[in-house]
Amino acid sequence: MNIIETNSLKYDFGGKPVLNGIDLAVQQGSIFGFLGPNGSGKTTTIRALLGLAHVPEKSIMLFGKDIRTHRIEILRNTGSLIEYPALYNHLSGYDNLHILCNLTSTPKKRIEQLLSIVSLTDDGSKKVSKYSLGMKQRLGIAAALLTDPDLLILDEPTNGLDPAGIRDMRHLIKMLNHDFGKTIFISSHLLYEVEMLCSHLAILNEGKLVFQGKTSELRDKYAKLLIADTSDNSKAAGLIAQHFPVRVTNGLLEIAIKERNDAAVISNTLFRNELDIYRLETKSQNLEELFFNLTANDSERL
Amino acid sequence: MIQSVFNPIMRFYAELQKLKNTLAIVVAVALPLFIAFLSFVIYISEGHKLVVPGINPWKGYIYHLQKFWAGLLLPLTIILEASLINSIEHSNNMWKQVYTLPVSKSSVYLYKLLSFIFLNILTAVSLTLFVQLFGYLLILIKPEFGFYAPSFFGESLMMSLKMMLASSAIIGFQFFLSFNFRSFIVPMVIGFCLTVGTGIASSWKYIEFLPYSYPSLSTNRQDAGIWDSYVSIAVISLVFLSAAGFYVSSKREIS
Repeated sequence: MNIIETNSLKYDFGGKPVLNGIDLAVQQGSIFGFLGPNGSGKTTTIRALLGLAHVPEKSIMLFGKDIRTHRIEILRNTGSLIEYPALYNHLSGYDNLHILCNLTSTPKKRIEQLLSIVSLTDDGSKKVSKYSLGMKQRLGIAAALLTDPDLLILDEPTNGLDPAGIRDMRHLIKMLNHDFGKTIFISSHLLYEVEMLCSHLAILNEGKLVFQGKTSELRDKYAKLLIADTSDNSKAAGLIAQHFPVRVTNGLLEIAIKERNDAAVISNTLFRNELDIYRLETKSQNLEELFFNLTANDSERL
Repeated sequence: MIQSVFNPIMRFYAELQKLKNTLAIVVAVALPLFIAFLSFVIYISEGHKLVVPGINPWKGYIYHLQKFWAGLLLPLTIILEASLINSIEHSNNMWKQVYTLPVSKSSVYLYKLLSFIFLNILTAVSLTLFVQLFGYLLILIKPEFGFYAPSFFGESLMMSLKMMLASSAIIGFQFFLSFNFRSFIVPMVIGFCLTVGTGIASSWKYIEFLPYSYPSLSTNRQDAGIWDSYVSIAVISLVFLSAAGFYVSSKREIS
């Protein structure tokens, strides 16, 4: 069952299209990564999912219901954290959750449970202004979990965190999915982060989806880059170009391969032509290169 | 049934909880205290010129202070409080949190407005209590002024509440501005200009068309009841401005 479905979701801002017909499908129980560079429309999509931006009727369905007509019902079962956590800095962590309890008619005993889940029990009485960013993010997650929702929508939850904070957040997200069965929709501009956390993902670029599927499918789909350095790179480039797209950059060969076995084929070709191999390694692609490879045709792809 | 009564109370209480450790509460209590203290000091030093022998001194003491309060300080307090109470949400970027809660969008405006009205009632009651308190202190310090006479507590409280009711249009307008403007300055400047402008135009024959003058005008007849035409127009204005606020809140997009 799909918990989130968007149907040709479009959104304009100031006459400029921000979202151009997005069709998302997020399965129940998954950790779904929503990947895209800054400005690609991730936060706008999340705002639309949460009813913070006006979108046409039936273009967003959560739990099978239209956000336009069943907003309160949907939000009762949806927790969210949009970019940096919104908290009352002049109050304690406990008071922040207490206010939200009173606003949502949630029993007060839930506060202790939530502080424990996000490991803030000892800091609950401290003012939020004294919290580190990591603690604020965790309190933001606690606030999102207040009504024990089935769906969590987290917008860049590791933004600005130090490595320890990122690790804690990753652990927390996995725990919420595995131990509490929450479906988690998480946006990020970091490919490796989404690959580590998510079972499914969608990639957004300039308001359009360029990929949607299992994380493993993405790995198979996009070309990997191989970096090579040989005793004669010009000759090597000519040989490799017969089978794979190749270019020479900064004195090194950059070769686009599709499968792991391609590295062995290249290695054998160079060896048979008596070229010494000084270096042959895969290069992890950044998001921009990945987008290029996902959107470019085969002849352009590298 | 119990839930339908209990939930709105808890939502209103949550709005009051947000005021903890904020200037909004301090201003609501400290400003009346300061003004009552100022009046007290003036009476200690210049009271012999202000007290008329044979007339209950409480009357002049309360009237002069309330007149001054209604004409200038009450509108300015409302302007400041409206900005402070909405800045709790603006400065912490809390609107996105508030509008993703499973509550109707227009009720966000309603409960915040109610907490703002509560602050104004608190200010009105504080003013009355502090005026009384310092009046009783004058009995001890300046017994010759005759403050042991009846203190008009009921009348004083009623006049404070009447001034507050007469300022309903200001309450509604300033709250609407502060709710919609992220800037702390814009609603303050608009409110300040309207207050000062009204003060300058106080002898203008059409002054009754300026709602910012209603608190002051409502104090002109001390013997009148709590309800008069100024209060009526001000309260009706508050109702219309609130309806506009509910609509804006229900259509609000959060970036």
